[in-house]
This record gives sequence, C-alpha cells and structure tokens, in this order.
Amino acid sequence: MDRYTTATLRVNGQDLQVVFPTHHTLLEVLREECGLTGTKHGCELGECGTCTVLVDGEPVLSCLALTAEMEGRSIETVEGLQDGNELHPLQAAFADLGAAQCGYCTPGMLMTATALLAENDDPSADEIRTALAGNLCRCTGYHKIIEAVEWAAGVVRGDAGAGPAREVLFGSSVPGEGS
Amino acid sequence: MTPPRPGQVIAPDQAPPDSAAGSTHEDDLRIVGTPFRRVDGWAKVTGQTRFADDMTFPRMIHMRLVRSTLPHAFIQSIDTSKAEEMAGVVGVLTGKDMPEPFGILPVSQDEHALCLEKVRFVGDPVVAVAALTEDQAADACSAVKIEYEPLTTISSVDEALETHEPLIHDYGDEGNLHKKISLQFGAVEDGFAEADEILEDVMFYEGSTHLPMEQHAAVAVPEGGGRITLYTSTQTPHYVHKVLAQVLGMPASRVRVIACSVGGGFGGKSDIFNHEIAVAKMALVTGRPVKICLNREEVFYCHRGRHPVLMHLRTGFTKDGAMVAQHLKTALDGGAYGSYGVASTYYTGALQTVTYGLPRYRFDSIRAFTNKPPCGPKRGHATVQPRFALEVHLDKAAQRLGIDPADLRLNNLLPPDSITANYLKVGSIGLGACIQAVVDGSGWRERFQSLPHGRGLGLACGSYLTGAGLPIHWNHLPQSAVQLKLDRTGTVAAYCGEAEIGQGSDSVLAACVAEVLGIGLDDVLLCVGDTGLTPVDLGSYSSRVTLMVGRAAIQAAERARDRLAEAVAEKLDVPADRLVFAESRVFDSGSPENGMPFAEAVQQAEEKFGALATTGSYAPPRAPGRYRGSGVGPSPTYSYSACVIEVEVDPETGLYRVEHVWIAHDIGRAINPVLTIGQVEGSVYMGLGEAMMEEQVFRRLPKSRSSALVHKVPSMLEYKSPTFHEMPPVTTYLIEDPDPEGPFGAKEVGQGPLLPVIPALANAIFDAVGVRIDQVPIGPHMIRKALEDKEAGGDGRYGPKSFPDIDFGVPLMVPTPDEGGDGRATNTEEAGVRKGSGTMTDGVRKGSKP
Amino acid sequence: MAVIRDMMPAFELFRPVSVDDALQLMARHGEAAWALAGGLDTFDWLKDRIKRPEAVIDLGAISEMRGITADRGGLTIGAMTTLTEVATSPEVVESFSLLSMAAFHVATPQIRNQGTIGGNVAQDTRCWYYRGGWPCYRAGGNICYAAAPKAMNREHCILGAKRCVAVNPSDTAPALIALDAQMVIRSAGGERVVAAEDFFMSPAVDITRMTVLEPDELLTEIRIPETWSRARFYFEKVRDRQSWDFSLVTVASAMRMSGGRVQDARIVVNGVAPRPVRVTEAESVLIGSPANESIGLAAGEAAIRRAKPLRHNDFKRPLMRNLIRRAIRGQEA
Repeated sequence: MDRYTTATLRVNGQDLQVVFPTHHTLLEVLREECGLTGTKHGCELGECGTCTVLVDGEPVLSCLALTAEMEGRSIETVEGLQDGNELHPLQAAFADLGAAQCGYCTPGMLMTATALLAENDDPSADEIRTALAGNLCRCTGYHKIIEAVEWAAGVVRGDAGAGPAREVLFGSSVPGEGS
Repeated sequence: MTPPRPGQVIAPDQAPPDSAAGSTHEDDLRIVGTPFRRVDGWAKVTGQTRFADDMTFPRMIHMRLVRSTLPHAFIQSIDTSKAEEMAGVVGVLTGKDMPEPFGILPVSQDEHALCLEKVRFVGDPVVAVAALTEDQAADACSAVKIEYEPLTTISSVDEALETHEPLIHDYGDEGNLHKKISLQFGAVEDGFAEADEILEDVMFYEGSTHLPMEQHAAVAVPEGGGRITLYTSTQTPHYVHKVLAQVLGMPASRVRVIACSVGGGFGGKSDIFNHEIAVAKMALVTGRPVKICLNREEVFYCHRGRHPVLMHLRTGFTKDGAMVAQHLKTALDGGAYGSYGVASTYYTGALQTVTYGLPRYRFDSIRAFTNKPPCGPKRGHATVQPRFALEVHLDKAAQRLGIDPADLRLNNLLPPDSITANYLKVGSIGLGACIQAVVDGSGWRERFQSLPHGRGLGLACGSYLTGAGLPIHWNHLPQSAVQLKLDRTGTVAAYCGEAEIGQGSDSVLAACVAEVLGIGLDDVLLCVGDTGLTPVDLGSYSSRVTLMVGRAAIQAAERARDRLAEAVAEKLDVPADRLVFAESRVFDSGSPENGMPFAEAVQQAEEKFGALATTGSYAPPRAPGRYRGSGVGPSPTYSYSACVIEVEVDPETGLYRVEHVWIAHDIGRAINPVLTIGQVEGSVYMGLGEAMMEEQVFRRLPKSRSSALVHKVPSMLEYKSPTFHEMPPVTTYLIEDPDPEGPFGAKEVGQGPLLPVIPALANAIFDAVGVRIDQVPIGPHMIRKALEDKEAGGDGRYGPKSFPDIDFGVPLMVPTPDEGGDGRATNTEEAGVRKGSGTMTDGVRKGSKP
Repeated sequence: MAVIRDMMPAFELFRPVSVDDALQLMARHGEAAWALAGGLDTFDWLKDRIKRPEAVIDLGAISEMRGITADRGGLTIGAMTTLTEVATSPEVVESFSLLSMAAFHVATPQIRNQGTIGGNVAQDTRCWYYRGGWPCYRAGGNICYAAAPKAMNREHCILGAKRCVAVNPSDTAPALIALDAQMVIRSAGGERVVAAEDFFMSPAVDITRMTVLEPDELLTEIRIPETWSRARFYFEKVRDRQSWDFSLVTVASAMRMSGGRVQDARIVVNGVAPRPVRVTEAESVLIGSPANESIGLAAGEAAIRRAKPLRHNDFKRPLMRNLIRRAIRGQEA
C-alpha cells in the first residue's frame, strides 16, 4: 500500500501544498502534482541530467531526490526563470543561438547554467564545460550551448558589447575568400 | 538584453560577411540567409513546449508493457488473470487483440503490436496493462505470467548464414536472410583489368543507437464519432496514421495523429512502434485517454538504429588515383524485424558513386535477421558505414600511390550535372570547395604527415540526399504540401504535415512563407504535424523537409502573393509586376510611398476574391534509373561535406583525444545560418560519438542461464555518448552555391556533415601513430593491439579479417550511361537467385507458426 | 533485462534527526531497513526493484553527520557531507588536496551536490551482471557471469579476484586509504574505528559485502590524521568519458620527500580489484629512492607483476603501470 506525505514545497518562490506518494521523487511530484511539466526526464537514474532543478540554488537531479526531503527548501524550475514577460538572458541566448534544438535537455541545461552564473558571471568556456558536464545533449554538439552561456553571462554582467561572434552566427570565413 | 521577439533577427548590427553569404544579394532576401531566433525558441526555453509525455487529459490512465525476457521463443501461454485482479487495473491487451501485421515498408509487414506466437528479441513486447496510476500498471505487469518454448538464438550475420532452422521469420530472400542484393553497373571486370593498382579492404562498422534525450511517449484519446486521436513523439505522423488505421481496422478518416514536438529523433522515431498501436487500442477498449511513456531501457529495445555492417571493398585505381572500378560487398545485421531494412540494405551501396568519378561499379549485399532489437535508419541512413569504408580505403590508396589524400579526391571529383554509373542524377556539387576550405583551414599542406609522433591529421568527405526521390508507398502524389490561410489581421496561418524534431523545420516553413510575402516571422502562425488538420508531408526523414516543405511553402506563398498583387494593383492602379512585398507592406517599387500595409492588402484581396487560402506542393523529379532497386538513392539534389580532424594519441595506452575538427558543408544556401551551423556541429558530435565510443552491442549469458542474448547494458551510463568534455573545438565553413532545386537554393544539412567525421578520425589516427583501425568505434585497446602488431613486424592493423563467402547469384546487369545504357537492367529474368519467398507470406500475415 | 522495472516500490520513510535515532531504527527493522544517504546508489537499486527495503532510513536530516571540522592538524568529515563540500572545502583543499581532487572526479556536478562521502565509499560495485539482477556469487548465487568465457569484462578485476571479479567503484576510497583515514562506525551497541585500508571487504572474506559495515551499522564520520597533511599528492582517474563514468583505473598517492629521496609513500589504486588496493610492491621500490621516471617505471612494473587480466581488460595492466609511474614522477604527461 502506498503511503502518502503532505508537504509545503516552495517552488519558484511560491508555496505549494501537495500530497504525494512518499516514495515519489521530486521529478514526479513537480510534473504530476504541481503540473510543472517543463522539467523533463531522460533516464530517471541520474545518467543524463535532463531533470536538473535547483534546490537552494544548487543543481540537483530531481529524479534521484525524494520529495519528502524538500520541505523548507527552495526549488527552482525552468518555469520560474522568466521575469514577467522578459526572458532570462540565458533563455534568450539559448533561443537565439539554437542552443535549444529539440529543446528537451534545455530546461535542465538552463537550470545548471543559472546556478553557474549566480556563482560566476564571467565563466571561461572550460568553466562552462565543467559546470554543465552533468547534462547530456544529443542535438547541438554543445558548442551553441557554451556560446549562449557566454553571451548571457555578458548580459548579466551588463557588458554592452556582449553578443555572439560572427562565426557563431555565420560559420567561419572560408579561407582565401576575403575577410 | 532586449530579447529579440520570436523570429527577430539576432544581432542586427552583424551584417552577413560577404564570404559566408557566397551568393550575390541581387535576390534581395530579407529573412533567408540572416540568423534569426527559431520560431519555436521561446516555447522551448520557457518549458512551454509540450512533448508527448507532457500531455494529460481528464480520466487518463497509464499503460505499460510486459516484454520478452528471451531472445527467441514460442509463446506457450500468457496468464494475465492475476494482473487483471490487481488494484487499479483497467485494461489488459495481448497480441490477439491486434493480430494485423504491420511494418513501415510495404514489403516488410512483419511486426505485431504485441507478439502473437513468437518473441524475436529480449524486449519484444507481449502484454499491455493499463491502470489508474503508473505504479499500479507496473505492479500489474509483474503479475503477468508468460511461458515460453525457447528456440535457437541467432546473434550475428554469421550465425544467420549458418542457421537454416529455426527461421526468425518465414519470409525473406533466403533462410534467415531478409534481403539479398546483387547489382552490377557496367563491365566491372574490364575496369579492374585496366587498373594500375587494386586495393582490397575488409571493414566493420558497429551498430549504434539514436539515444534521443526524450523517451518515446504517446497518449491516445478516444473522441466522439468513433474517432481516435494519438499524440505521439514521431518524426513521421503520416506513416503512423496509415499504419494505425490499418492495424486498428479503422477508416483512416477516423484516425488522427498529432506529432508532438519531438525531443530528439535522429531517425529513431520514424517507424511506427508497438506502443503507439497498443495505446490506441487500449483507449478504444477502455474508452479512456491512455498514456504510455517508455523508460530508457525500452528505448534501447525500440532501437531502429545504425546497422552493424561488415564491408568488403575492392577498387581498381589508375596511377594518378582515379577509380576505374569498384566492387563493394556489405553484410547488415538487421535485428529481429524488417523496419526500413530493405532500404537500408540498398543504401549501403547507393551513394558510393556521387562523390568521385566511378565508371563501373558492382554492389552485393545481404541483410540478416538476428534476435536483437531491429535496426533501421539513423542519421545518414546506412550510407555512413560504406562512406567510412570508402574514405579510409581512399586514404590507403593515396598512401600507396604516393598522392596527397586531398589531391586524390580533388583530382577525381564527380563533375556537376552527372548521371552516375548507377543512374543517380547529380546536380550541383560543392565538394571541391569544401575540401579546399578544410585543407586551407587546417593547414593541411604544411602539417599533414609532418606532426610529431602521436599527433595526426585525417581528411575525409561525404555526401547525402536532400530528400529521398521516392515515397515509401510508391505513388505519384505530392510528397509535401502546404496550405496558407490569410486573414484580415494580416496573419498568415501555414498548415503542413511536417514534424519539428529540433532540426528547425518550423522555422524553415515560416521563413519561406514570410520571405515571399514580405511579412515578419511572427506574422506566420503554424499548424503542423497533425494528420487531421494539415496536408500531408511525409515526415522528417531523409533530410527532405527543408527542400520539399520549403518548395511547397514557396509555391503556396507565391500563389497568395499573386492574388494579393492582383487586388492591390487594381486598388493602387499600378501594374502588378511593379509591386513589392516587404516590411509587411505592399507597395509600388517605383514610388514606395504608394502602397498599403499587408493586412489591408489581404482585405482588398478578400473583397475581390472572397476568403483567401492557397496551396502549394512538391514532388521530386523522376530519376533516370529503371532497374529494380533504383528507387533507393535518387534525390532532388545532394549535399557535400569535407572534414579534417586533428587527433592526439598516447601510444603507451592507446588513449586518444580529438583536438580539432574542421568541417565544410555544401549547403546550397543557409536559410538560417545559425541553425545551419547547429546542424553541422550536431552532426560532427554524433559522428564523433560513433567513431569514438557509441555501440549498441549485446552479450550472451552463460549456457547455464539459457545463453540469452541481452543488450550489453541498456542505460545511458553504459551506452557511452560524448559529454561536454569530449566535444572538441569545431571550425565550420558553410559553402553556399544555391542549387536550382532547393528553396532559395538550399540543400540539406541535418545528416550529411556526419558522414566524413568517422573516416576522418580513423585517417587521423593513422597519421598520428601509423596504424590502421578498420572498424568503429575506435577503442584505445584497438590502437594498442595494432601498435603491438606493428612492433612485432605485422602490418599494424586492427579490424575484421574476412568477409563471409556468400553466393550472390547472377547480378542484375545494368549498362552504365557511358556504355549507352538507358537505366534498365538487361537480365531482369535471370538475375537474383532467391530461395525464399521474397516478401511477406500469408502464413505470417495470419500469424501462424512458421 | 527486459523485466521493465524502473519505478520505486513503495516504502516506509523515516527521517531521524540524530545518529542514535537512526541506529535504533536500523536495529528495529533489521534486514528490512535501508540507510539512505545521497540516494545515487540507493535509487538505482530501488528503481530496478532488485532491492525492496520496507523501511528507508533517510540520514539527510542528521546534522551531526554533516560538516568538516579541523581536528589536531587533521580533519573530521561527517559521512553525510556532500562530495561538492568535500571537493571545495578550504581545509581539505589546503591540507589534503588529494581528497578534494578525488571528490571532484566523482560523476557529475549534480551527483556531487547530492552524493555524500559516506555514500561514495560505501557504494556497491557497478558490475553490470550483478546490478542487472543476475544471481551471481555476490548476489548469493553460484556463478560469476563476468568471469565466464564469453563475458564482457573490460571494466573488471586484474588483481585480487576471488570468485567475484567486480571492482570497487569509489573515487574517494583510494584517496582516503592514501591519507590513512580512520572510519568511524557506530551501531546501537557502540562505536568502532577501522582504518580505511581495512574498511573495504575482500570477496575472499565476504563476497556479498563491499565494506566491513554490518547491517545494523552506520559509517558516521571519517577522520583524517595529520600524518599526510600537505604531502606530495597525485590523483589520476582514467575513464571512458570525463564526466559520469566510473574509473577504469585510478591512482591516488601521498609521498613525503627528504633530501631528494622518498621518505615515505602510500600508493593506492582502484578500479583494478574488488577493493581499493595499496600497492606495497611499488611503495617498497620507491622508499629511499628519488621520485623519478625510472623508479616510477620500476615501481609500476612491480605493481602489475601479480596482475591477471581477464579476456577484455588486458589494457588495465599498462594503464595501471603508467599511472603509478606518473604518480611517482609527479606530473601528468
């Protein structure tokens, strides 16, 4: 027989009272009880990073976290990233550069990147790689994601000149054909 | 940042560099060729995109499948009685509930929604259980009892060739061979007689799977009026629709399939799957919406991925490196069902001719049934394996003939507007420019063969279809269609059956419509991938969408523009051919102030003609081949790519690292350059994954445990795919030379750039440490073994030793165009010795015991 | 395989706030109890439904089991301290960077945020035959699938196999042994302290357990003595991918130099045997010699002398030799 737990979860700054089977993970409760289907799942065994959400600001695999442990902790999901109608700079850069192709790893990628920028608003490409190394993507080959994080970091820093390099948008200049 | 609106141009201060644009600007394009935010971008970064598993409906129940634990067995009994009594269980289905066979290809109708009398691989689904919660369905599944009578397991091509009983299927060309092909184009032996040098290779390409991040999911909803709607993660809603109607025994008009946004396909969601049919049946039986989401292990069982292929390649060369004749033999390990396998088999031979001149060519192939999850199409569909073999083979030829591998290729490029020995009509070819770009970019001329021991450069090329010339079900209908509805607000709704799988097809559709009508991307509303509401597009496979949807969209938009122009011309009293559609206005090119907003133009036209809707469609030109098998390979146009890889190898351990990839892709024209580069980088990534680590392999348990053949480990941890850390820097060159067949000159980019990556790595490893690894993925232990072999005086090679001795019978003889051929075979009657029944028999159709 | 079981069965969840409460719960539920730390290993077992505990005792609310405190030149690390905390703790980084490097090499950032050092050392083996639920020796059966003639055993043992050829997967374990850490174990009956070197179980002693922990015992803290503080450390983990993957071969070493010669050294390898192994053969070659390439090679050769590769893991021998050589030479190359 299933046992149920009642808990108040603080999700994206809002308190939600939920009743859920005690053995259900944060992933299940976010998607099913809270209706927040933006958080995705790819393996449910901690092998892909797709279900990453922030718990007290730290990227956590929601598929391997019991919801029962979440009372009193702050949970952030992709649905909470926007500021009103304004996309978070990471969201805007991901959308613009095609860092989201199929878009399925994107919510997890965005949450991990959000935690990175909160800690370091001027990360090097290697620091981005290290921070995001727990998120798999099968579409992009990762470069557009790194470039989007770099761009967004520039915007977060207030760097007026932040923007993708030409080769990011158009490819490299073909050798021997002008600039 | 002020985020751009959907579809707004990114970084407007960045004008396209002239060298990248490649073409002149006289065609005055405003959207095409400029990087813009993908039209589905906003939804994808906010979590609003609804994938199939995100759909919920009132009263929805959950379904799960019980799968075979044996690789090959008769089902003796199925006892679901205990499961049916369990808490929450609403419905239980077995094969008998859906006995109609199906398959994606008409010639391979060999699957059942749930196994009828036989299971053919570990993971074959047998029973479906639906319950109020997923937990309850899972519990009930474990209460289902199935008894099996085990049969001999066939685990490889060799075992399939040796095993005449039992047969995995009772159809096929011979024994456990699903397909057997022998084609000869021209006097091949005469060609070999002219050769200065003959090179022979045996190579192996291991199977791999797509590993989309999204697990397959589907929700079936019974509707009023005897209708059913299926929401599913599919690349091919049209084919799912067709097969669903067939198996459910319902008129197609009562079945509606909606392709949700697909969380990664790569070919893996272009079949119709057991669970899609079973979930629809369950909805019909229970009268409730039913959802199924496969778990990761089950995704490995769906598979349809890259075939493991053993290849034998023999080529005659002249002293200066020109090919005079080639004989390619391939053996495909097909897994347990047909899937796209017949097409895959032909594809292992079809595109060998489109890159370099090859006057005479013979191709022999088999596809074997084995007791493993079925193989099918994965990015580059079965052209990837022979491309690996050919490009490594050419590297060896260059070495033997003392020619630089880049020159060997450049000197022997197929000329544009050729008809190849196997009757493929090739139009524009940007391969020379691609090779030049990566040679210059990588410093090839100075650095190849000149780097310190352990570091090396390798070069390879590739080509791919821009859409298959023929549909899966042969007919003369359009392969893509677009309908436009223009309304008084100035909004243009575009309806098209295409499926957005992340590749950017929605953005292509919107861009083509907006470009022609001179409106913004956010003035275009899309309704796609819905067989109930949208006109047919065959789906997101064979890199067909940009070209075919694009052409259909342009035609529909041009027809709309003509109507609007006629009405506006009348109103403004200017000749229609002087009107310009731009900036969401329609105006006189002679005096731009004389015009009206686009919305007003629509109103004018509506007043004149009534409600406005137009259509456009596209069907590829007919290909010149007329022989059996000539349907696989033709395409409206071919894309080309060239790649140089730099690698660092540690000779002590064999561990290696890809340091840099230079890749050039002949795109014709990039509709959205930033998404195009994303496709190139994604292809490079997936190619490197296959070259370095990805393998869908199986193991046998010991005899004491029934020798069952099971997936090595069906998990994302053990199926190694590259992470952020494994992806090297990539320099991408887009070679733009608009192709007349493509929309605005565009060719494909989703698959082609994968092809050269794999052989380029193998060639780079040779340059680094002087050993040949003739199989992929290339493991460090293979490099070590080859180095040890070399140190012991061997030839320093790791790879398969031989190709099985197979009687291919009399090949189908097709004289080449140079020999005066007309595309027909000369010996149709005597060719192809087939002992089997060829296609599905009534026996299997009725599900009887073979 | 193909018995699809990815969802956790229901269980009763306890969240004690003290070690004493946790130990009482464990004593009360006996075999039916399961101590949950970070959950990375636990949920893998539970979602496969291969382990079905009735009572899950979640240690996450026990604050006394968490944190790093300086202690007479050494450190005391609560078993529930996360791997991220271990990897980034200034005390660890300053004096025992070997452990911080080891913790940093575990899996992925998310897993390090959730996973604990106690869980990392106590985790079960990754042998896929065993984890797939096949009834092997370790699971109480009478066969080792991984040692069978046609088995796939690239990841398995080259040393110390005894019926079972699975390897210990922990990244922090070899570092803790090199640092001569002491493992504090408590049960309702009291406390015992075991050297890290003796904490891991050989299959020759008990094939079903990875560590000396009894079912009613908890690893509560790890004490690192001052002995190797700020010694010369080396850590290298070779794996297929630089993220997620478990080790193929790992080396962790601590050395004290005196007058250009090695005064004392502890060299530990993992990924090669059922438990992390201190390679005393290499240490004895080394002590009293300069830490250079040729001594490194000699030590590496000595270390692999007893190695017996299986069908598919011959590569681990040169790999282990080279890693030991690099550890002694003191730089990655």
